[in-house]
Amino acid sequence: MQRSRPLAAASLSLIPGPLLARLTVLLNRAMRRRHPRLVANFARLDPAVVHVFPSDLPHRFAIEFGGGKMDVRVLPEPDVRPARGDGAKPPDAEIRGNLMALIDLLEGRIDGDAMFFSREIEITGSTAVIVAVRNTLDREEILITDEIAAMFGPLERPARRIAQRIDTAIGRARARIETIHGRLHENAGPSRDLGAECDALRAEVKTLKTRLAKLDVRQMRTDSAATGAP
Amino acid sequence: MSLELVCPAGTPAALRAAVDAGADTVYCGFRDCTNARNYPGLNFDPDEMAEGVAYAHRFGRKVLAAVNTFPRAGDAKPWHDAIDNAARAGVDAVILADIGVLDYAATRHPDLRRHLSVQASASNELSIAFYRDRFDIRRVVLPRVLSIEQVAALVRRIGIETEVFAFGSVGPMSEGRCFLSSYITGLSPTSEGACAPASHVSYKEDGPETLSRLGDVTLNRFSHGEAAAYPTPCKGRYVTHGRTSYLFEEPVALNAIDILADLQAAGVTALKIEGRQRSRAYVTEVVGSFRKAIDALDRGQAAAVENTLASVAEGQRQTHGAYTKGWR
Amino acid sequence: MTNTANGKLTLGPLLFHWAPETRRDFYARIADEAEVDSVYFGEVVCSKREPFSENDNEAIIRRLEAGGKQVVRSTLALMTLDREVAAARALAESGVLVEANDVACLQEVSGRPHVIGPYINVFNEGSQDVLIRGGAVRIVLPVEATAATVRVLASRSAVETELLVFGRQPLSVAMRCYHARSHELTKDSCQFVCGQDPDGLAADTIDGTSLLTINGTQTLSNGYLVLLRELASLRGMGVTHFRLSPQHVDMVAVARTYRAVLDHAITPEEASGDLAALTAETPWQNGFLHGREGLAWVESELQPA
Repeated sequence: MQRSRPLAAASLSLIPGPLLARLTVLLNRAMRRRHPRLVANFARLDPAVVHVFPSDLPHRFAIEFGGGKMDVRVLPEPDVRPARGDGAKPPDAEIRGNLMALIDLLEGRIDGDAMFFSREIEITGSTAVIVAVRNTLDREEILITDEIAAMFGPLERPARRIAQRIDTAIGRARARIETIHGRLHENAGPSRDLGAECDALRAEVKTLKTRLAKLDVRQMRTDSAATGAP
Repeated sequence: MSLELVCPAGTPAALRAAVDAGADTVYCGFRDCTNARNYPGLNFDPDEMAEGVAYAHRFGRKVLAAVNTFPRAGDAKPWHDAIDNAARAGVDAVILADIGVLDYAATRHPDLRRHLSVQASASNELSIAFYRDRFDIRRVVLPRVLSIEQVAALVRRIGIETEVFAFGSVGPMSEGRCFLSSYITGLSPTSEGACAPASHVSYKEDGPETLSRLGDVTLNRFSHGEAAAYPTPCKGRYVTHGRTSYLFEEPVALNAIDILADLQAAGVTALKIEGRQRSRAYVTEVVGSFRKAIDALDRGQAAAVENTLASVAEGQRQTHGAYTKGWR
Repeated sequence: MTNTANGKLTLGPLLFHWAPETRRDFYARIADEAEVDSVYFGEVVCSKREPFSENDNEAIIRRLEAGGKQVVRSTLALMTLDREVAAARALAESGVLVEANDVACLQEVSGRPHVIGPYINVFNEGSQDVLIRGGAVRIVLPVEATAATVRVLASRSAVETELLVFGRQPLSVAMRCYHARSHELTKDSCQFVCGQDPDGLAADTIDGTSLLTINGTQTLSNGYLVLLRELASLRGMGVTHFRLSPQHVDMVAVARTYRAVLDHAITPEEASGDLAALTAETPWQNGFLHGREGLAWVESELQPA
């Protein structure tokens, strides 16, 4: 269980933004199906919005709950496009931390008291809201790998394989860029291959993303068929 | 008799975790001001209580419902409902503190077993006898202010079961009678059920340090990574004679795991783990350790128990508290 | 001496560890000059202090009674030692009127008239009823009581209701001695350092704000509870007795001021001026009664029901 967390964190960190937004829709749906009590428990809290900033992800999330509902959303990138009307609600609290720590929080491994003194998680805003979130999460046995697996259902294994491929591709890209960076510093002049290498990488990642998106669409269909939703 | 292990559950998941980790008994409260851990998102609604009881009973374990705050004048209904709901859920006992609530329970539910909460602050033979004789309480949870010798003397004299704290946060004040938190926040632990309510707790970065505040009062200042406690007034730093200190109590956790044999010899019935506001992980870890320790004790292997609970202890430090000399 | 329809004034137990001669002089003056109806007398905080002035007690009680005061014997608020329990039992058996501050006493005084002190929680009708059935003739409400609580309990009470209206607010009792800890001592080796601070030891926050007062094992507010403007409303709710807690100020003058307000001889505003001269730098507080944080000072009248 412990060992699966880095993989979960890695696969999340590799998912491109738009796809992640789709995944969030799936996540909400899966949560309602798999953890109706968790959703109900969030829904009966005092209304609040919490923003979550995983430090090793380019994405931010908003958890909105209380007053009979609960929703998780990917926030629009503030520097890319202007905040939409519905994303403008200021948060009551913010949680920042690396993905691993946040998954620990989600899975009930981080203690309420300990959370405020942890160096891995930084909390700002209303303490009452944060305490409510942590206590509510702690009511439910959640394992993020199970959630991901459940979200993809029978397609879990191909999804994981692709995530690993993306991981490998990006790892290779990083290594190459580091090499190029090194050359630049040696004042050897820009590599003639740089443009070509980038194009190749871009193409490879794009193919992989498309395949992941297709999996996503297939999953949506299965999901709709299962729930009877349009 | 083996020591009964009484464990906290702030949520249904924690209740299952406690049972799975070897608790003999789990105590929990309803989701309102009727119990002393009324924090947002915590505790049980009546259905969850009934399900928790069913789960525990399936494994031959017990569930106790804490209804251990003091009703506000003119507003006893939540407390009466809590007693009625606990009885309906089939709990094995209720843990009570207020004289009026004890009277209600004894009158309306005479067959529902009653324990006296630590919030009643019954610290001597006569107080316990009062509650025993008036309300037929079967067990008293002793305040965390007594030495092992005092516990042993009480056990011999009072003729009912005793439950003592074995692990968790140590409150140095006489419980149920401490108004420090309401003095600072205006919300009463005695009737609202939350000492240092989260709504009044805040943290403020101050250069390399963090300030913890309750209401408008700064309770502590600590550097990143320094062990600190949840900012209840009795765990703060104060200045007396120009010197700053943990005047009331250091950020430490009581841990009696290596003196269980002494507590057993003193005749106590049950060991209580504090911490309904803590995580499932805490419950699993602490309950598991104490289960092993009690089992080892029962096999006559007390010395074999390893104390590995520092990481979940408050402030990551441990004390025997009042059980041994020098604490006072 | 007083118009009882306007409410009675009482002097609570001396909470501090004063030198025997200071204590003797204080009670002599109270006996002879203070306009109070009842005086609560006895050690509430720490039984280690008792031997210092034990020999004076009988004379003090005689003098108070000679001064026309009802003497009520206060007990410790927290008893754990056998000798403490034995002393409470002996006091109860002696037949004097006792203020029970630990439930322990109730086991002994039940069925006979006694006073329930502010250290026994009476926040609601249920506990009030049980205690009255047990023989309580007067109930001192806890310091944390709000006006809503006082209104409900005082108006329905078949017995007398008392409330603290002046002095540092008792916030907690403990087994541990914080006065000793502040001197890096323990309770067992305390050297009676609490005697050095006749009005308690200031415990400030780390940013230098005055917050608490330490008195041995007891923790009090830094400020004095001052309920002057509220007296008429409290009387109207059915509070019969108003308690002044001894501080290191001119308590005879404090009593005179409160008496004058109860008797409508002066206005609360005039009384505030007089009292401010007596209490010097010590801040005033009244938050609990107003449903606020206990350290707050609220200028407004109590909200009507």
